[in-house]
Amino acid sequence: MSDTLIALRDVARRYPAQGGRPTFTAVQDITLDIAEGSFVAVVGPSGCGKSTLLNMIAGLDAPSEGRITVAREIVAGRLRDDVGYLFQKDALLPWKTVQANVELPLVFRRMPGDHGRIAREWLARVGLAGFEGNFPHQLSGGMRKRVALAATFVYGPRILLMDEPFSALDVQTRNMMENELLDLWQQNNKTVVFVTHDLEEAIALADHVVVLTANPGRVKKQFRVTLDRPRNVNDIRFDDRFRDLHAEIWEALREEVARSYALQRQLVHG
Amino acid sequence: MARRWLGAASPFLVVATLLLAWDGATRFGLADPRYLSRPWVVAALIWEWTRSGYILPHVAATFVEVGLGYVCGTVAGMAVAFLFFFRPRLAELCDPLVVLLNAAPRAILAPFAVLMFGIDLASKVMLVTLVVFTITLLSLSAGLKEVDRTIVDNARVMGAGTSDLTRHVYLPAALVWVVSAMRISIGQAFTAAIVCELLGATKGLGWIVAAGQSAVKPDWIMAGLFFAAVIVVLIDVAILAPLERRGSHWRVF
Ligand SMILES: Nc1ncnc2c1ncn2[C@@H]1O[C@H](COP(=O)(O)OP(=O)(O)O)[C@@H](O)[C@H]1O
Ligand SMILES: [Mg+2]
Repeated sequence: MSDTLIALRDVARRYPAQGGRPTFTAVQDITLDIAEGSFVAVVGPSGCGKSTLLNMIAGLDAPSEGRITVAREIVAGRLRDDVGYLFQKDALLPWKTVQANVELPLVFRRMPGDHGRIAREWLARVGLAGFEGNFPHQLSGGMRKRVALAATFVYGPRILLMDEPFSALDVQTRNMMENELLDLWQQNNKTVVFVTHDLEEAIALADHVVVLTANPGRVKKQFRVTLDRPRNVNDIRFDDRFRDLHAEIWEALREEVARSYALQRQLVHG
Repeated sequence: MARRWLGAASPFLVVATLLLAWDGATRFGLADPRYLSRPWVVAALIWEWTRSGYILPHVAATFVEVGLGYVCGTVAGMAVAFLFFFRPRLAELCDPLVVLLNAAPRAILAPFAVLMFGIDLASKVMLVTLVVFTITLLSLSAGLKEVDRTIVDNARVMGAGTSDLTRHVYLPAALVWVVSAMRISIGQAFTAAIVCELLGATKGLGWIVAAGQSAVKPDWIMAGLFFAAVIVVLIDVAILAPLERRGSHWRVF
C-alpha cells in the first residue's frame, strides 16, 4: 500500500532560448515520491510549473534533466496505459455525444465487453443518467467535468492526474464534485496527483500537500494531512486541525505567491 | 418596418437598377447593343433555351466536369493535407511547390490542360481538380494546426493512436474546414471548367460563351454566364450552406 508508485528524481524542464529570450526553466530539482494509493495535492502560484509537472508524469512531455519512473519504469515522453488525466480545460470531443465520449477510451484501448453498457454505468455513477444523447455544449461546466471524470474512470487507470479540474466551477458544484471524487477514489484505490492553486481544496482532499516555489518551480516543503477519512469537504473546513494546518502551509505558500506576483509585475513593467 | 422591407428588397433593387442602367445605356447610345446586347433579348434567349431544353446538355456537360473535378480535388486535398500534417518534414520539403500552386494564376494552366488532355472531359476535370485541390489543401492544413491541443492530448492519454486520432479527432474537426473550402472553391471550380471550355470544347457553358464570342452574339455570352452563376448560387444555397451549418452545430463559442 505504501510502496512508491511515482518517483521523480532531480527533474527539470527547460525551454530552449528562442527569439532573444534566454533559456527558460519551468521547474527544476524536483524530487518527489508518491506512494501507491495516496492522494497528493500539489499547490503553488500560477506559472510555477504545476501543469508542466503533470504533463511529464503523464508522458506528454519529457524532462530535460532528471528521471521520472512509474512502477519502476522510466517515463520519458512515452504515454503509459494506466494513467488518466483530467485537464483544466474542457477536453471532450464536441462532435460526439456524452455517451460516445465516455465509450471512446474503451474503443481506443480495444477493451472487451459491452462498451455501451459500461459507459452508461459510469455516467449513472457520476449522476448523468439520462444525458447520454446530449452533446457537451448542451451541458453546464460542472456536468462536462462529470463526463470527463466518467471518461477517465471508465478504463480503470491506476493513476489519476488532475490539473485544477474544478477551478472553473461555482463553489456549490465544486464541493459536490470534490466529495464525489473522494468517494470514487476510496472505492477504486487510485493514486491521485491533484494540482490546484487553492490551498483549502488541497488540504480538504489530500494526504500530502506539496508546496512548489514561484518560478522556477522547486519543491519548497511537503506536509502530511492527517485528517480522518472519510471526509466531507463542506464540514472539514471548520475542523480545528484543518485551520492549524491551513495556517502552517499558508505560511510557506504566501511567500511564493508574493514572489510570483512580483515576478509578473517585473515582466509587465520591464 | 419600412426599413426591414427595404433591407429584404435591396438585392432585387440593385439588380433591377443595373438592368435598367444596362437597358438605358443601350437605348441612349452610351453602349452598343451589338456588343452588349439588351436585357430583354438575353431574357428571351434564356427562356427559349430553357423551354426547348437546348441548354440542358451544355449545363450537364459543365456540371459533370465540375462534379468529377470537385470530388477528386477535395479527396486529394484532404489526403495530402493529412499526409503533410503527420509528416511535417515532407510538408517543409513541398512548401515552395504549395506556395507556387497557390500564388500562380491557375487559369493560365488551362492551355496546358487542353494541350495535354485534349478537348474532352479529361482536361476540364484536371484543371478543376487542381483548383479545388489547392484550396482544400491550404484550408485544411491551416485548420488541422488549429485543432485544440488539449483535446488531442486527452485522446492520446486515453489510448488513441495515429489512426484513432485521425478518425475520431482530426477528421471530424477537419470537416468544418473542408466544407468551408468547398464553399470557397465551388465558384473557382466553375471558372476553371468554363475557361477550359473556352479554349477547346464541343459542348458546355464555356463552349456557349465561346460560340457567342466568335459569332458576335453577346446575348449568348450573357445567357451562358447567367446559367453558370445560377448553378453556383443554387449549389451553395441548397447544398453547401446547409452542410456547413449542420457540420458545425456543436461549434458554439
Ligand atoms: N511550450 C512552452 N514554451 C515556453 N514556455 C512554456 C511552455 N509551456 C509552459 N511554459 C512556461 O512554463 C511555466 C510553467 O507553466 P505551467 O506548468 O503551465 O504553470 P502552472 O500550471 O503552474 O500555472 C510558465 O511560466 C509558462 O509560461
Ligand atoms: Mg496550469
